[in-house]
Amino acid sequence: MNKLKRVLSGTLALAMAASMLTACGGDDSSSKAAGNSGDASNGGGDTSDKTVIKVYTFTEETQGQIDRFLEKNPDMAAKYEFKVTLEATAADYISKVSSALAGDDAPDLFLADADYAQLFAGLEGTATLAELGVEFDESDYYSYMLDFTTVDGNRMAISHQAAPGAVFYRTDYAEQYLGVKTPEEMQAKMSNWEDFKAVADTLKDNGIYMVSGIDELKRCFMANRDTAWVDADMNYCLDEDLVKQYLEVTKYLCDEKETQYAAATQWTNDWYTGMKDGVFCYFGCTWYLHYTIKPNCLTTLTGAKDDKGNPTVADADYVEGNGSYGKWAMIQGPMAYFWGGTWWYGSDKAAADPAKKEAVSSIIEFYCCDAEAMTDFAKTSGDFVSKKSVVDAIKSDEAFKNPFLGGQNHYEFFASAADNVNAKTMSKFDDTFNTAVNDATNKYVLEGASIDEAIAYIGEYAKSKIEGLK
Amino acid sequence: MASTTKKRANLEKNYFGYIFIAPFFLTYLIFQVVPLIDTFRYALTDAKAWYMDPNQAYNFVGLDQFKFVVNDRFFKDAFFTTPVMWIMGFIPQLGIALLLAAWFTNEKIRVKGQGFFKVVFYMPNIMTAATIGVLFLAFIRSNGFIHSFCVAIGYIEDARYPITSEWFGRGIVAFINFWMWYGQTMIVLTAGILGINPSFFEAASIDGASGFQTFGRITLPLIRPIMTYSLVTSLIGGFQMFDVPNMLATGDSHAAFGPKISTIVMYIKSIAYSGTFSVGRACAASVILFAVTAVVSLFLFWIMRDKDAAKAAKAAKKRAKEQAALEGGNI
Repeated sequence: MNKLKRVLSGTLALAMAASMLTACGGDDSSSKAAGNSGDASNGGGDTSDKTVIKVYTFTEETQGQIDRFLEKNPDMAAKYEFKVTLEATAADYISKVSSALAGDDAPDLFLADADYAQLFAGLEGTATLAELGVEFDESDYYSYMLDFTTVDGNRMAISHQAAPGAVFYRTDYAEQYLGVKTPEEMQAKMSNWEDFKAVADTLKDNGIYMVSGIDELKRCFMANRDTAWVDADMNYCLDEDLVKQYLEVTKYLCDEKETQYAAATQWTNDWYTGMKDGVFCYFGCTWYLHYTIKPNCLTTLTGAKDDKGNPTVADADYVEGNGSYGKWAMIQGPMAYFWGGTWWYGSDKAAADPAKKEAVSSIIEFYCCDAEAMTDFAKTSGDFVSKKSVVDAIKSDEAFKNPFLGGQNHYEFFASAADNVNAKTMSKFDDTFNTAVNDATNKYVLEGASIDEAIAYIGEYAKSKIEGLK
Repeated sequence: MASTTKKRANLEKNYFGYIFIAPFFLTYLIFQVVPLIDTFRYALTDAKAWYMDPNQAYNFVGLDQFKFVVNDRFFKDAFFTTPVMWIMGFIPQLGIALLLAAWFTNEKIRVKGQGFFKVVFYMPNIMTAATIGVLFLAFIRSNGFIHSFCVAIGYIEDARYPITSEWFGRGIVAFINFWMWYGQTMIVLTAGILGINPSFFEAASIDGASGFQTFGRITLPLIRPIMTYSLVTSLIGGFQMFDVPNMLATGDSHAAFGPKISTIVMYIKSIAYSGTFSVGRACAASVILFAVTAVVSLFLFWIMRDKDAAKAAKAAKKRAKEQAALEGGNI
């Protein structure tokens, strides 16, 4: 009996120790494996004769784009193998890329969203486009997206898409309550914020809310600041007039019961519900059209399921009369702005290795520089590409008449909107200022703080979070 | 002599136990103690997360980070809000727990279905705090039942508006903390009361003491150590309050009291994970939190100490000294 006890306790102790050790060991072996794959790609690949190109991305789109690239370029497919690592959570993706870039395990090709495109451009280990051998005619691109990722005069990244913003409005309400029949007439009625408020007043009398919540105008206003929030010397730069105007317009709409909710609603269910009915306009952009407003304006779904069994939107759902589908149109609205984009980068490691350099520069050129490939991509995906000559050539194509917008050509519209965009207002601390502006809006609009207190709060908040801000 | 050999033999026989506990202590040492000590070192630097500073070229800045933190209005706000929310939750928590514990242990009442009630009262503690945060988020958001109730009684005039009152937000956090923890406190206190020698209660009832007298004169003084334990553990938890207020402040609540229910740990998180990702500054704030928690806990121990026992010990010491002096004099 005693012996049995001893054996049992010994086994238990071993099992415990083993489980702890395997936990550690698991980590160890996986990092080793990662290290090995890195070594393999460094050495040109021992197991297969293809060079491995490591790709880090934040979007599911990338894998499809790479497959498409390899399909159209069989010579590349024969030589290279692209290994894509996807990390959709922004904070995790940022830390993953920036820590990997500093080490031996750096990705060869990586992508960024607008929120951290500038941060990535400044990282050590990011190659310039010139070092990668990517050649392009700068004048043929929307300058905002190149300026945005320029460090010390070097172009660090290029985006395959431009994301100019627009105001989406309900054509049926416009016709019924405002007597407006075309987007041009609507634009004339909403070309500045005073007119915007006047339209809101008219709609209120008819029981229609102008916007969903008190954060709807934020992106549009904030993209129109005259400087970035933080300059190169870490000075706090406040465009007081513009922030003041933003707060005042927002408070006016909220006080006059012209926002559906007296709260921030972006990306909440209440925001989506308004897209179906009851709200006159939304501030969105190129990708917003395809991924946000179009699927959320529908009221009935046929019951399609995605891979995980969750209900999803099927093509058959997109019919006029389903929700507000087909009852929307786009105008520029009171201010031009942009929202998002996808930037492509190569690492120093890729630039130093001729084989990798060829692969990385080819795929970047394929999506961002090659007119023929970009035209094809725009037509198949509907995405708004960044090269002006391509946009000009295809913008009046019949293929871009959008049934969601009641037949309006979104490509033509975005083409004109993109010219007016300026991205010199972006800085790597925009996320922090986003929160500060949200809090300030709540303070002024909902809690009765004075406008000066609300504006002062933005600076206080930023100085608390941004070390060294003057 | 014989007894010491026996003791040593016992020790040697039990060495297996050390192997048993070694994995915990090793992992604790590597993954907890070392980073913990590092916190104090980083608090004196301007270190930032490596994506802000890839070469980790941070400088030693002395006490600058501490100076900044104690002067930061957001830290001061959090430093007020956190203990206030804890106290608002802890007073009812201890009160209700004491009451229930007294009832459940009272021989005269003999509450039926005790096991059932204990499980029910303990239940909220089993759920993760984040889950409960989400639950209450659904209550306070627009058209949630708390919001609708506020609209119905006219507290909110326009249903488009969210609940913005800071005391409302703090009250909800305090209520959640109370609701989650009173069951746990009750179980601990029940155990404490059951540990009291029943002959005291018998003697009291024979002497004709009322229920209140028994509770006030026997139960309360004798469960003081266990109450100190509850108080101090709750205080430490209270100062580190994070998940519930964080969920309510940052979740999709429509409620605008976000920054007003910001706690110290939420402040530390916002410093370390936004703006310049200032690790050094966040460490300084953590060290302050640690120091304050330690000081307040010690103060509570001192307040709750058994004064009679301390007096008795002092007197005994004095007597022993006198005795020694006397003996010394004799020699």
